[in-house]
Amino acid sequence: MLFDAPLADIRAYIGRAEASGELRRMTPTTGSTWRADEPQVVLRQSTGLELGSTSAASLGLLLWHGSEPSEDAVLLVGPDLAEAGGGAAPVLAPPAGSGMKLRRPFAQVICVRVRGGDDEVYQRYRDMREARQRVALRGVMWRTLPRQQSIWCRIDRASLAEGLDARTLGSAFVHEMRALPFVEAVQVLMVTAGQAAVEQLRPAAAQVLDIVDALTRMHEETMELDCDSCEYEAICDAADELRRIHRRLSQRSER
Amino acid sequence: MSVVAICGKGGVGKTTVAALLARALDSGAGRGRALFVDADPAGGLAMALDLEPPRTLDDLRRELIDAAGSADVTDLLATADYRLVESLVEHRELGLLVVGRPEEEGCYCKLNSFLRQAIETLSDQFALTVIDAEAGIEQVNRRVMRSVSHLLLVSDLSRKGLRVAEAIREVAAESGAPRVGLLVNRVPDDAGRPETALPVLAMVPEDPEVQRFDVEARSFFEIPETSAALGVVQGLLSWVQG
Repeated sequence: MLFDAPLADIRAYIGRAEASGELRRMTPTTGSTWRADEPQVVLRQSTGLELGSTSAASLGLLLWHGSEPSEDAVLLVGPDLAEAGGGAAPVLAPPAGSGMKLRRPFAQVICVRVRGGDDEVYQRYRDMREARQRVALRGVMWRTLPRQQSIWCRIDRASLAEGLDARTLGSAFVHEMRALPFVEAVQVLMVTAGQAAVEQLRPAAAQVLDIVDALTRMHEETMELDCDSCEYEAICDAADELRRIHRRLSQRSER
Repeated sequence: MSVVAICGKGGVGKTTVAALLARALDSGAGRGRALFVDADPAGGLAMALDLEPPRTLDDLRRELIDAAGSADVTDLLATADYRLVESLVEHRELGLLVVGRPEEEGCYCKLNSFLRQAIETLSDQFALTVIDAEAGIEQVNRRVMRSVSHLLLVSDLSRKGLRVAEAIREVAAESGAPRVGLLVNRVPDDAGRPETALPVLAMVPEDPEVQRFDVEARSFFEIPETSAALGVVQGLLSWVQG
């Protein structure tokens, strides 16, 4: 499958976190009263917790597979939101003018189990990516830079005080993905345990980016369709399914 | 939600009025969040408020042009949205976006449209958006926002200033009908109301305090409550928020 290699890395990462007792496995919530109609903006003044951004370690990955994950789940490595933010009480907010202190490195890895449909792989990727973009929760500013695999999230103090937690946040992504007809299960892994914990996912992230990049170029641009001279040969070597997609496109263009 | 465009002839004090509005909003608790857009290429509002934007919208547009070669529409929209929020300079409950240099005519229409869409999405999250416009309503419509709910025309007592304000109202009427009001700026003590068909909202007196802050390049957020000009602009808040 397309993401076999990075998925193996992520599976190993989860296994290590589980073995060391750092992993929390949660069943997604069944509904959310936190849903918002539009992307939110949280200003620094009311921020209780800031995750990721371009000035802290940050990773956002989206990958899919035909047989994993086995069920919907929200996984957390590191403190939950209120703990990570130092608590929900306004008194713990950074003093005005002191600069943001409650900023933490952050990673989110969304693994989606999809059924069939090899021919529509790129369209499905686009659908899943758009579903991820659609997630909007009250009091949560969520922005992504897809090409940089970067996430920036601010959560306001009022939402932390009301009890917004990682389970609710992760579940919002599960629900949005599950609304797609070809999605069978979704696992959302979130890492708030610090920079080292985020950086351990970097090799898997690099593989995901290469694969998605090649997939995008195959479908969006006129590219070299002769595998022997193509610049993506090495990436296809690492992801067999990518080569099959490439060949399929090549055959289509020859017809 | 109100979107207020401050328009008028050059040199009549639009930026000063915008800065005084920011000061008036900053002083009142519970007034809600406000987004200010400095659409003056010289970045006068950012200077008046002593705020340093991390990047201008023009910088962002160039970044999007560079990214356009290797990203598709969804990626570009997400990037525009992310970088736009990053470009926001914050002061308590106020946010400021600086437009920067004017865009090149006719180029990159699609990217400009992405950017405008991102600005409108951002603006939806603020109770009030105030645009310190360069000149004329067309510029506001084309470059920053499609929808302006309030047109705050600024003029001094000069006939020319008032004519420009009247002309802008005519153009605005063609592209929709926002609420329109005239603010007459720098009015000497002995002056009467100007002859104009425009609805006069307020007469802002000449204020040595404002002039001093301007000359000394001090932040308008520090203008004292005793400022006569600030007092008049505070009286405008119910109109712009209405």
